[in-house]
Formats: sequence, C-alpha cells, structure tokens
Amino acid sequence: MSEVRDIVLRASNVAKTFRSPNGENLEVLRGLSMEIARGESVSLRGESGAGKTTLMNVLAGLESPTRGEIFWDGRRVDRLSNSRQARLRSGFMGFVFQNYCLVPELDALENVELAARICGNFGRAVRERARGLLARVGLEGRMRHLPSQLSGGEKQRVAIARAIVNSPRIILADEPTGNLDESTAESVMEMLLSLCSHEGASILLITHNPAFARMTSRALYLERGQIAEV
Amino acid sequence: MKWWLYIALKQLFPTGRPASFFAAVSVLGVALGVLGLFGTQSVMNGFHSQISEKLRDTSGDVIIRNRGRPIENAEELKAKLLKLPGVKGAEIMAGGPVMMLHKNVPAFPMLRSYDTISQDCALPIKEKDFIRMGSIDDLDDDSVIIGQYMGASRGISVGDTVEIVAPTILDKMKRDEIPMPVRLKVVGLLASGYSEVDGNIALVSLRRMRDLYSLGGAAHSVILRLEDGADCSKWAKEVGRKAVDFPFTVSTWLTSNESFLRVIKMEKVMMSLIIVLIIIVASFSICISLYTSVLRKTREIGLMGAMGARPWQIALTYCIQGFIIGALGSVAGLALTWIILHFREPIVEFVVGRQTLIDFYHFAHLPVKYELVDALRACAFSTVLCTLAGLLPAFRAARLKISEAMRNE
Repeated sequence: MSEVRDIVLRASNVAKTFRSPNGENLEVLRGLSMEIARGESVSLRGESGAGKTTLMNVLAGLESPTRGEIFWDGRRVDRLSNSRQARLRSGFMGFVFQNYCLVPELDALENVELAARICGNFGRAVRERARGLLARVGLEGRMRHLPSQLSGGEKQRVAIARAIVNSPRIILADEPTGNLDESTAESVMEMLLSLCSHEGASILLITHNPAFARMTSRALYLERGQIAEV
Repeated sequence: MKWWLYIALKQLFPTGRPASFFAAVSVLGVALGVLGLFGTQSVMNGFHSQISEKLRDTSGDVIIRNRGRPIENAEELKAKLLKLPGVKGAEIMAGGPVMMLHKNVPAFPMLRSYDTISQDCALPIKEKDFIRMGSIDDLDDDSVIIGQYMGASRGISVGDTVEIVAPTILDKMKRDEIPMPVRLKVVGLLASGYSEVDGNIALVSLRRMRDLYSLGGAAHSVILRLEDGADCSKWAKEVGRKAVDFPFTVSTWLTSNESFLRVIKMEKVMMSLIIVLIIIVASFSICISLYTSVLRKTREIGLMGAMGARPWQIALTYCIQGFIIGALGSVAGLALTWIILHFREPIVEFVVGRQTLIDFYHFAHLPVKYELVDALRACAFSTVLCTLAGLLPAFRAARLKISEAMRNE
C-alpha cells in the first residue's frame, strides 16, 4: 500500500497508435510501463520521432492511450472525461515547454498567476506566491515585463515559475532548454531541478542532452515504443 | 474574477496598453452602428413627435361629424359633449373649400371657422401663439386670417383685402341671384408650424363661414379638446362612441391622419432595417477577427487546456470578448449619439443648411426625441449580435485538441 501511495505517476502497458494519412497504423508506444515516485526526477531521452512528446501527452491526459492504463496518485485517469481530467490536471501537473508558451498580453507576474487562476486560486496569497517564485528564479525586477520584453532564458524561467505555482505533484518538461544557448540552458536546468526538489515535486524531463539527463535521479530511454532504463 | 473573463479582458485590453487594436476598432465599429441606429431612430422619433403635435394642434383631439352632412343641432350636441368626462373644451366648426382672389389672382384655400363670440376653440391658437402680425381677437365677420405660407406665396399681407367666393354661389345662380364675392380684410397670419395648414388654411368667423356656406345655424363638425395627456383613441372608443348616436361619427386626429403617421413610422422602420444590416456586416468582421485570433493563439489555447482549462471555459473566453465589444460599443454608441445630436445644429447647417430643413419640413431645428426602448433595443441588438459573432471562434477554440494545438507552429 505504501508503495502505491509513493507513486505519483504510473503508466501500465500503454500503447498509442496513430493512423497515418495513407491509412496505415503507426504504433508509437508499444505497451510500455513506467512509474515516477514522489520527489523523483526522471529524464527521458530518445531519437527524434521516437514518441517522447506523445508519451508525455498520454501521461498528462492530453491524448488518450490506444491501450493501457494511466494512474495519477494511484487513481486511474485514462477513462475519465476530458473535463474531469482537466480539473484534476490543473492542480496535479505543471508543464514547461520548449517554446515557453507565455501569454503575450500578460506580464511575467500575470503569466505565473494564470496557472493558479485556471486552478481556481486567486487573491493576495497567490500573488505573493507568484512574486516569491519569480524572485526565486531571479526575475525580481522583471515581474512587470511582457514576454516580448524578456530574453529566452527569462521567458523559460517565467514558465518554470508558472509550472510550479500550484505546487503540483509532478512537472512535465518537454525539452525546456531546446531554444536556449548552452550556458543559459544549464542555469535554467539547474533552477528547474532545484525548484522541483525544493517544492517536493517530481519531474519528468524530456531532453536530448545527455548531460542534463545525468542531472536527474533516473534516466530512461525511449526506443521502438518501449522504455529502457539507462 | 474567473480566469476566462480575466483572459478575455486581457486579450482586449493587454497589460501596458489601453486597448488592443482589434478591440479599439471593433468597439468603434459597433459604436458607429449604434450611433447610426439610435441616432436615426431618435431623429425619426423627433419628426414623428413634432408632426404628431402639429397634427393634433391643427386637427383637434376628437372630431364629431354627421357623415358629410351639416349638423343641425350643433349647439345642443356641443353642450352634451362638454358634459362628458375627460372633455376640456368643444368647438363648433364649419369649413370647406373656397376660391380666394387677391389682385385677380385666385387661390383655393380651405376656410375654417373660429367662433368669435364664444371664443371656444379646440385648437391651441392662443396658447401656442399661432397668429403672427395680428391676433385672433382681431378676427370679426369682415376679416380673415390666412396661413403664412399662403400669404407669402400669393403676396398677401396683413391689411390687404381678399375676395372670397364659396361653392354655394352655384345655388344662388340657380335662383337667378347675382352672386357677389365677399370682401374680407386680412388681420393676421396663421403660423402653426405645420406647412399643410399654414399653406392651405384661412380662418374666418363662424358666422361668416355659415353665411358663405348657407348653413344657417348648422355646422360641419364639433371638435373636442380632451384633458392633457388623455388617450384620444381610448376616449373615442370608450366614451365618445357611446355618447353620440347614429348618424354621428367619432374620429380622432390619429384616425384622420392615419396614413400619414403610418408613412412616418414605416420610414423609421425601413431606415432602422438598413442600419441593422450595417451592424450585421460589422458583426461578421468581429467574427472574422476573433476567428483569426483563435488561429493565431492556437498554442496558447492548447497551453490553457494543458493547465486545466475546460473546453467550455475556453469557448467562453471568446464569447465574452464578443459580448464585451458589443456592450462597450453600445455604451460608446449611445454616448456618441447624444454628443452628435446635442451639437446637431451646426452639423445640419454644415451638411444641408438650415433653410433646407425649413423648406422641406418647416422645422427651424432638427427635432430629436430619445426613447429608452429604442436605446435598449439598439444596445441589446448590437450586444447579442457581437456575442453571436464570438460563437464560431469560441466553438473552434473549444474543439481544439490540446496536444495538436501545442504542436502548432
């Protein structure tokens, strides 16, 4: 029982098949299983087109698996409606994307607050938390700047603060440093991992960079639709 | 504040800027539509109101006739009608077409009587100061008051003498009498402000009118003036028609001028319909702009979905934007209408010239009457239309698949 409670995210025998335009079935995930424990940082590498993002989408409930089961905190979610999944996801998961995905009309602080608002939280406490997180990622003086006024590294730090604002159980980061130069990427990655560790959140980090993969507690490799421990 | 309302507001009014270009142009577009719709309706209401007032002032509230025949016992009928509830005054009236000669130039006005003895009058001749360059009190059996436009067009002025020949001349000729025209002195000009009256009506004493038409003690109608604010149609139906017996007929100024009033009303409806079409076209533009916004923000919509936004909440974000544009545009449109119509005089002067207004409508000022129901209708119509314009983009946004939206380039 205690082991079940410690598992934040579990995929069991998950398969995902797409139908190609010429009518052929393309099996991207082939009955893979994996678990991520509470506070654990896991990296996932693989060739381009191996299905890393598809796996992340399936784990996050953004796409339904063709077969298999997904559990969030021990609760099976792949059979829930989209609406129900969305409600659970808002407090359970945070996302960091390669292309930042900040709302251009909102400044840095408002972008961080948006995730909390969608989760149903707003008010002074949320604002203070957002301010605190932005300060922790080194953007104390840039809170009122619009995304267009921030550098790539700064944007990604805003995205990290946004991912963490709801104190999620797990962060799914899809190549978060893909658009950054080497030194910025390294500092962003360190920041992401330390913040997750500090907040007690697990992280699934999709990356091409073996050095970043080594920074996590466990490294996985996705090949031919199956997961391999590295 | 709900996040979808927050995002809708932020997309329209982004941080650091008063409004997005799209919001500013859309609100202005709706405001101009509402200005067109409410402005036109207000001016048409003004025309309708002014013309109605003139018609009522020059026709009287209720008219009792004897199916085209003279009313022999007019005094008796008048006394009976004066006792009815809601009746403020009654006037015995005789009238009809005559030939009027001035310096051998003929005119064919309608002559209308005024009882110079009792001075009972169903028209507000004294209260509204209808007589220029003279007074109704100057009228006697040997004088006439002519409409000001008739005077102007025939070159007749106060102090001139005109000759009147009534149709009853034929009866006299049949009796081998030598009919002589009646010479009357012009003692004033009638200026009711209604061109139909001021161009065609002349006033003579009741006694002179009876004499011209050989009526004896009879009259053509009894005209009633009701208490202020009375509903003439209701009074005629509930009181008047029950009080007078056959063969008398009871009509009101509304029924007498029904066709004319209907034309004005129809004109208002037609003009409103044309402007409604313009607002519908504007709403299509809003729909297209919002739809483009959805396409441009596909990845952001996907992000919101990933962060836990439900499809209906995403849809609301766009519907609300349409609603906000409609509501703000409506309020701005009402304000714009008020400002423009408040300063309408110089605008009318600049666009058509005041003389045109006087020549065609005989109004010195462009009449305006604001009606709450028109304002509410214009606002509701624009707001609903703009909200509907947001539906298609909202539907598209709600249907986006999050994973595909996130991959959008």
